[in-house]
Amino acid sequence: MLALVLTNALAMAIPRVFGAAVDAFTQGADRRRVITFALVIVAIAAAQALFRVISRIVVLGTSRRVEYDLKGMLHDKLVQLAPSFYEAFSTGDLMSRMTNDVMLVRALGGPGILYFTNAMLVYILGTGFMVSLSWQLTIVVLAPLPLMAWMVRGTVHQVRAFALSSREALSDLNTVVQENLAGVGVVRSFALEEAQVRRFEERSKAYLDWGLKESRARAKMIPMIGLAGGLSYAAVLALGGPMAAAGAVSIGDLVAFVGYIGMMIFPTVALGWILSLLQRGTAALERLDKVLQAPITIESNPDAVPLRALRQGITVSDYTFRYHDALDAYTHLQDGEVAHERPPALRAISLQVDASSFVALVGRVGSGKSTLLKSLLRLVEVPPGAIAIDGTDINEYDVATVRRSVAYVPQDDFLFSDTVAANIRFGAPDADHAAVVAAAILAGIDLSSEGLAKGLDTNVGERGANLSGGQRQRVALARALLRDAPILVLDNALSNVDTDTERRILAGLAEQRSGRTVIAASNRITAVQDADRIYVFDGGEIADSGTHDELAARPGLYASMREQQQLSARLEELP
Amino acid sequence: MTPPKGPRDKAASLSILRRLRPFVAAHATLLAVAALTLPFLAGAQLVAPYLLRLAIDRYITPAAAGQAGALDGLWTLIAILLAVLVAEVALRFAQLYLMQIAGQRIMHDLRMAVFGHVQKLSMSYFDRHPIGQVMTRVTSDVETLNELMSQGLVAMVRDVVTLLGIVVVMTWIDWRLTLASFVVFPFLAVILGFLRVRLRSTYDRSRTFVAKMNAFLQESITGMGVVQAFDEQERNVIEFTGHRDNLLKIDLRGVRLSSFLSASVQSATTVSTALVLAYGGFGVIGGTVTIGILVQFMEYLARFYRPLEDLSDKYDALQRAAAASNKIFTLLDEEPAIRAADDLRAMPDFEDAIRFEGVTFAYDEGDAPVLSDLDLTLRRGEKVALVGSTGAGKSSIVKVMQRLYDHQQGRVTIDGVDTRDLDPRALRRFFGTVPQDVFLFTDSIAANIALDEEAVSRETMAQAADLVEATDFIGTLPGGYDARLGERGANLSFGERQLLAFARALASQPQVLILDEATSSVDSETEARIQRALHNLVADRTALIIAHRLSTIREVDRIVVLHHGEIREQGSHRELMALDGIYACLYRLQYQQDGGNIGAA
Repeated sequence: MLALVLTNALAMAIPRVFGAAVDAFTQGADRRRVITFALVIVAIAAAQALFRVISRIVVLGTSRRVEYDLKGMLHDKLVQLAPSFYEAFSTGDLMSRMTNDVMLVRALGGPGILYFTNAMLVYILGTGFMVSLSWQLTIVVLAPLPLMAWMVRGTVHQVRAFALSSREALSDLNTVVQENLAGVGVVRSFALEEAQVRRFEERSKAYLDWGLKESRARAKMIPMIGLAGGLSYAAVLALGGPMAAAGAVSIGDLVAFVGYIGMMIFPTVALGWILSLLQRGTAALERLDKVLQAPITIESNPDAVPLRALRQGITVSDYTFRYHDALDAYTHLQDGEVAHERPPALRAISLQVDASSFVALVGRVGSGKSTLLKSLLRLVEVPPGAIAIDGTDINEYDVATVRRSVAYVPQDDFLFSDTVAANIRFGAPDADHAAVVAAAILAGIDLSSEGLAKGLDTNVGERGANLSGGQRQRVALARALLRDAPILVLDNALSNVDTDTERRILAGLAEQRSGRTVIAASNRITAVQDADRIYVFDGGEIADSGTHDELAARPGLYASMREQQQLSARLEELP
Repeated sequence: MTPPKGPRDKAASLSILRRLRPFVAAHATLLAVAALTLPFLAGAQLVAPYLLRLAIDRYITPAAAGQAGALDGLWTLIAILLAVLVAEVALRFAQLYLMQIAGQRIMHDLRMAVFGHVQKLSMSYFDRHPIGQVMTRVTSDVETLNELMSQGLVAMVRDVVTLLGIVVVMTWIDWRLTLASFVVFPFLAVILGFLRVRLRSTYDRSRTFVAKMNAFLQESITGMGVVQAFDEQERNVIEFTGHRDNLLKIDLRGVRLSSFLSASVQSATTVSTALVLAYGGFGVIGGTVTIGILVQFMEYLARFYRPLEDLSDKYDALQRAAAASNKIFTLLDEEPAIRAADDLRAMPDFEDAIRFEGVTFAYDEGDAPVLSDLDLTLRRGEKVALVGSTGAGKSSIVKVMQRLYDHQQGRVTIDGVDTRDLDPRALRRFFGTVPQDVFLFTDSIAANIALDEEAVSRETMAQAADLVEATDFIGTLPGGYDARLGERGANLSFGERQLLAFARALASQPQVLILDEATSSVDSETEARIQRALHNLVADRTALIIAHRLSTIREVDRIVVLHHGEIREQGSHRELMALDGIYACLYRLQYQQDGGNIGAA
């Protein structure tokens, strides 16, 4: 800040020196004095350059550091927020906050502060220097400024109103594009291309019109500022001329005044720009604050106990879960968007998973299996009293230890754009190569073929796009297996793998189970028939339970699903 | 993703300019008028310091020296100054506004070109390109290009004209003094050149780091569930910190370089002022230079150096615009996979039949075909159901029939005319489609039924709605047909959306109806309503139905059973059940499913 003051003070001194030099010349100075004046200015220049470099590096560098810290803070928050938060806020929205909004805040903190301070210093120092020369002239020079500020203010309001309409028009335009692309099937099959182009043109024109209105208002602003500067020049001449004639000021003083006016024009122009930076920056800060203020709905209690092993089992009692309730926590942070009321995903579920047993959940898509499995990792907000592990409520445990005790293969087999090996190692970064290979083989990944060009070093592409659905699921399975946790949770983990391969993988898993508790959800009966106990889910409730033989013997959802799948399998096998 | 450097960079910029030319040429007059103001504006910039000099030398200095009446001419001079000022304000407003009009109109044209081109692209393009990406091309990339037009180019032309003007006028006044004031310029040029190269590579690297960081962030946000399930938040934070560190380091370098650049320009201005003062001071003593000239030079110098200061920002804006336009033109270069033939034949009246003759089709050339050597006839007035398990090729038949995709072998004909000899859009209007997922636009009910409101009259639209008994629920909506739907029809129930889709298919008055039944399970009341509407929909029409419901199958004239892209069985329900083959199997499967649903409800 001191550097900033100094660089400006030095800059503002130059017209003064120049003016003094001019006066010296008119009074007939010798060459040595001329050189002296020039050297003074050069010395000022050197000092000024130094301070300018320092002030810019400090201020702009600080704004980069603020951006760095802000992003760090936001990311720290993001990793703590529960998955429900990510249902309430879309990825696109969060990305836009993390990039555009952070950038706006940086612009406010860096260039915004720099130019604002600059402008203020120029005004204060400039006025000081000018008054020391002649207060009358100072008044005339500064007189147009309030006039200008008043004119600019009106225009700024106008610009803001038009800019708002322009943003709305742009958002309308984007909606047309978005729907045109999302509904491309309808557009093509109904041959709506021309109608869509007309619709787009209408919106694009509207956007153009508002944009031009905004531009016209903006275009008025800059010349107005120039006009004020020009008026100051005229005023100095008109008043300064007679004053010089009367001997009240010297010609050098006039020259200095001309210099000061020149220096004040640019900061004034910049002020308008800073104003918009300020508006946009504070709006961005508000949006970022909403992320920072979002409640962390899943975290360890202060007196949480670690979960080390599963000794007795997991008891689920009278567990009802509504996604809507979890999303309610964020509604105050969103603009108008209210989550849709959905029926409860789980209704008064009770079940028991004994340690070291293999428990299966079957049922149609959306019957509540995934929600229950996610609850076991506390990936959803489990109400107190619903789930107990070894007799202690799941919420009493340290979240991290719960999650470390469960190796989880989610339904959505999310892979990171990295190699197969890196993805398998995701949950156990220190695992050695042999362990990775063993997990891969156990998960049924055939390293020799399957289009894995570089074996484990094959890059899986964005979201695993280079792999087939079945390959992705097997990588996700290997990732979980490498964790070597006491509980293995499989959420429809092999649905994209063909039935034969699935059977083979499951057989291998059973062999290596060695005391692990396995909880698997599946839409396929064949995958779960060896389970110690099978729970049949239907519409968020448990419709039936028992062993495969018991369930298959009595009519009901299980038997009908089984029959249906057998029919499908027969159809598949038809040549 | 490292950006190209050196000559290739320049070549790319040149080719972008060449591609932009037709868009710019369309508004050449406007641009020419705007350009016309530039020399006048530069002139006005030059005149003000000149008038200042006259004021000092002619009037104020003599007046200060005690010369009576010396100030008389000053008022005229001030009047001229004010006149120049007003002219400058007017010109500058005109220039800024005209440039904006031209620039934004060019952007409008470019948007239209991109959007129009996207409308020509085939379905296969959208299978390969995510919506978000295409969306970015049409909207934000065009906006970025706007920066190049309105700020980069105009400002550069204006700056160059002003700089040249200043040098010329200064030389004309006193070439020795000019020389003195520009002594530092070569040094500055060297420094600027040195810094500019480094700044460029810094900006390029910064952009690459930002891209990497954002890719990481995007992945973290979408995969946060997995990160938390594996309790790997800490590692995620460490990795993100790594990205932030990289970016901060390079950005701080950028800040240092640009600070030096800014300081160099400022020092050059100051040192030049000192030189003018020194050399000019000798001149004043020697009587060859007046005080006014000194002031004039001082003013010119300030105006000369200022544009050099934000050079690096301009470079950054240019680079971003170049990258954006590159992406836009890549999209514009994308050839539509399906194109109309050169000599189109008139759409047949449809008196006979649509025929598939030995059609083989794969979504991607080289993939296993989803339809192989398929023969199928759909006669006028006939109702045919397609059944088969998932992936048997039912929807592919429909897509090939409408030429949403091109088949590789065989022919599809309407009354003997190959569909590839027909205008694709006329062909598509020949069919009315009810897709499995109903897509509704954020618009009125009427617009969602009529879709193309210029082609479908209000009466036709209302009749269509009436026929499928959609009028009941439309009547209950505030505004009726003019009620606006939320995004994707969020405020309607599933059944209501189905009815709208039926009405929509009818409103276009197609020759053939294509119906892809929804598989979602609904309550029995809604089911009954949909079935009633469906009955009205297909009555007395040619229809091809991808059937999932038993009740629909009973209404058709013929059932075609597809298996692995081939027709395996054909006939009536009774005949096929007697055959006890695939159909019988599918039927039982269906029965199971429906039985299961009823049990669940």
